[in-house]
Amino acid sequence: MKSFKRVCAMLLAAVMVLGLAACGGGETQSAVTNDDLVGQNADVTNTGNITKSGYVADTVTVAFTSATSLSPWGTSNNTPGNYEVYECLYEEDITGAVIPILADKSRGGNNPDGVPGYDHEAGSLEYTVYIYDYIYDHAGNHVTADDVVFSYNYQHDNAVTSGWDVLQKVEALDDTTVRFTFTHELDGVGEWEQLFIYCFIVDEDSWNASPSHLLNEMIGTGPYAQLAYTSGASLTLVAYPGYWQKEELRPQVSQQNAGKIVYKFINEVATRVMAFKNDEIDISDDIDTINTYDFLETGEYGDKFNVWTYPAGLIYSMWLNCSEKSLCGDVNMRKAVYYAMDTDMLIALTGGTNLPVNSYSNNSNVDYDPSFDEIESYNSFHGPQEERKALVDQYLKAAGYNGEPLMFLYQSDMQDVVTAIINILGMYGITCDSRGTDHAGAASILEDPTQWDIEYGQWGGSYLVQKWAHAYDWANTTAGDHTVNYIYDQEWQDLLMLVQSKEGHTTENMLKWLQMMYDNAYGMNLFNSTKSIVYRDNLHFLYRNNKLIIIPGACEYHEVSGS
Amino acid sequence: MWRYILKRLFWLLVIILCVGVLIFSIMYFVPGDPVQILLSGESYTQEYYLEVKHSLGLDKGYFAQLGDYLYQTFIKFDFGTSYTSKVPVMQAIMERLPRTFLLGLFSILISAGIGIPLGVSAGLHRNGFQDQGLLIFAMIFISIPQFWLGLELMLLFSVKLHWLPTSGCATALAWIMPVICNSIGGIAMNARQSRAAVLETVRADFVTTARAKGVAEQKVIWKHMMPNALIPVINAVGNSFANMISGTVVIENLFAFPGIGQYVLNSMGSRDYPAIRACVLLLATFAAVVNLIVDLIYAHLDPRIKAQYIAYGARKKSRGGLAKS
Repeated sequence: MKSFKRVCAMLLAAVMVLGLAACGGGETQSAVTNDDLVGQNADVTNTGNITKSGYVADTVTVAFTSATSLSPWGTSNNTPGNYEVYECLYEEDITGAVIPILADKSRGGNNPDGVPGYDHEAGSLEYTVYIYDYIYDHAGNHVTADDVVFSYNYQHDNAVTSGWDVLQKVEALDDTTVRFTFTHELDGVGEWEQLFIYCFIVDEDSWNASPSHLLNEMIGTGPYAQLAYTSGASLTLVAYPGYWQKEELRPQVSQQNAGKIVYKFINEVATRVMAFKNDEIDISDDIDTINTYDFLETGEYGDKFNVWTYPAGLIYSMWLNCSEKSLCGDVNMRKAVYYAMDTDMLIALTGGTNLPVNSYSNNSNVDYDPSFDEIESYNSFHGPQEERKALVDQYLKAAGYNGEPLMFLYQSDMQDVVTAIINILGMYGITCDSRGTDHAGAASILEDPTQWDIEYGQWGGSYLVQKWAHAYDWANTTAGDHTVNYIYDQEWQDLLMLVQSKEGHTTENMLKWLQMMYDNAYGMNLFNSTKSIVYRDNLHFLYRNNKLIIIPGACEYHEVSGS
Repeated sequence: MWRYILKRLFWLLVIILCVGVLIFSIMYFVPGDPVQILLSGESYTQEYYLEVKHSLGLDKGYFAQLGDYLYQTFIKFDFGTSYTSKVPVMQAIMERLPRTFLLGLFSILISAGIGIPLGVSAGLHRNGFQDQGLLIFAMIFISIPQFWLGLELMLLFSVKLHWLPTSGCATALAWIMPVICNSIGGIAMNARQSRAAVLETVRADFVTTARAKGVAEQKVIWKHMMPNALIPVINAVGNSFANMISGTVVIENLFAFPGIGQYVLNSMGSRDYPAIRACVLLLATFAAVVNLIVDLIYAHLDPRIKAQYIAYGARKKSRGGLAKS
């Protein structure tokens, strides 16, 4: 028995030593601050100042979340490679600048915004788009106005195309002219873009000739063509030598700066990090900042890779259930909870990689204004703890709170943040029970106001007002007469509608909407998260489109000695 | 014997049907709305939401949806189209199934090929160093979580040694770590099972008799002991094959291995009902068929079991005859 124990001990020790050796000896990370993270290589996506290298990288391998089809259809489509293989009438870069792609920029331009390639008279429901007459796809088919009509009709009828119900008719006037008729003039914020930069144009003959109708293969007009595809594993694209657009007319998004682009489908962030370290991938976005330390300048792999960390652009908000059936139905209770939410402490508790905020906004949006942060509210309160405590106590007393726990509903992958929030609230005497679920589960539970009091969620969008609409538009609920967190405030809803229209989309109106939010404690922004892109050091300009998707062919590379 | 097989086949169909109803009901009643997920990140009107819901057939009641599902699946053999990718589910499964099947097959070959000899050796040398070493090995490897083991393997073989790729399935090298990760637990299980089986046989009367007759020890082991000791092991190996096929979710996701497990996991997150139902049904069918095959092999190897089956058939026959007369 004694020898058995000795053998056991020796084996366990050996396993531990091997484990530590494999882990790199439990290497400690250097303390990295927000300042070190955000802004590192900040000029890497400066679209106004691209240094063209003229160098074509041989192969660029990109890690991407798993794709189960290559379908080009759907306005929320982000299938890998779609933006290299297919093209829309227009594109939009990260700064919001509209770029004609299939639309002929030498024609049109008679429209209120002066965008080339289309004509539109103010007050009219018709938009006439002109396309180039020499567009050919990878199968050699000539793409004409009829194919634009086919693509729009197919996408409208068969894919998820929210916001497309305004599309009444698309017709080809001749080979290069397409007339769109809408049910109303496209005067909402982002409405024109939703219709003209979210539909890939596919040649009807190519679609018919494809056995899977382009679900398992890609035949587009873009600068890259599909070379190989293994469902769920990888997609390889190659620079298409017969790309239709003349070289001098190609915008940055249509460049062919990589000979081959390989998309490897890797869902797990841990696996992506390992793949970088094993030199298997060159670029990956959507990596949590906390996982990038090894690739920073001071990290073990800092000589091979760079990290660009940026505000993720999402609003991380805490919703309180405003229904009378919830403890938070009382405005004083809501204010107590929001004042108790010490966001600086939350950021510190969650690793320090998130950025502080002062309002229900995000400075990465083009419609953000610094005056939003100047409104005095619980969202901008960063005062001393005693003052905070006094405010919380005052509101709790007014609400008659007796210590009953609030039900905190959250998505399970957010458990760390939620645990920190619950602890912070607990410091001020507000107790919570928590219930974790997945995205779908949360959406379902939210429909019952008796099942939850607090919810933590995140909202995205190109414009701030789109984020606000995602969170607070009555259209998001089945009944359509209240918000998801049970706010029945008609005036606030009307104001939301107003700021979403092009005319009403003013800083003044947005300030009014925010002020009403704070007066009634309808919501709170907790922090601005950061995301990181890790990329090989031979890349010196990173091109991302308006959906923040990296377009490897449009990035600029330079030769690295020894590469 | 044939009567027994037919009866098992009949029950197999019943089980598959029950699994179909069960998985449909679970997915129906579990919280989560696939339409909301499909539309997430977009601004949409209530009308549009209802339109999408209608187009997916999700606006009908439980029984209407169940009826549609059973008719499409069991009468028309149509498993539907994925909500998210729009690819026919059967097509997606058929692309991935061979990879998962091969992963399971390699894993079972390795776990049986290493585990059984280790177990036999331990059983034959009870309390020897082989036996104690095996107990420690089995204890460690049964308790190691696959996710952790996978990461450690990656750190060692990919990051430190640069021998193997971290993910994918394009090259033979890419299969090594997923197979090792999938087999480790099986090796330990098979080793323990074999050890126990050998220990049970080692003192059996027929072994003592063989030794008393002066049969050489090697012959006693390989001709008398092993065929008897390994019968329950074969049963366990067969069943663990079904488990390995259906239990690859963690491994496939970690190693970005495009198999059924990864497909199920992705489908779960998006509440892609047709994909989940089809995968579960397929895996249940696979497990049931493997069980049946294992039972038949068991009967083939063990004359006592075969005799039972034949006697069962004969009994049935004679009862039928009496009823007629």
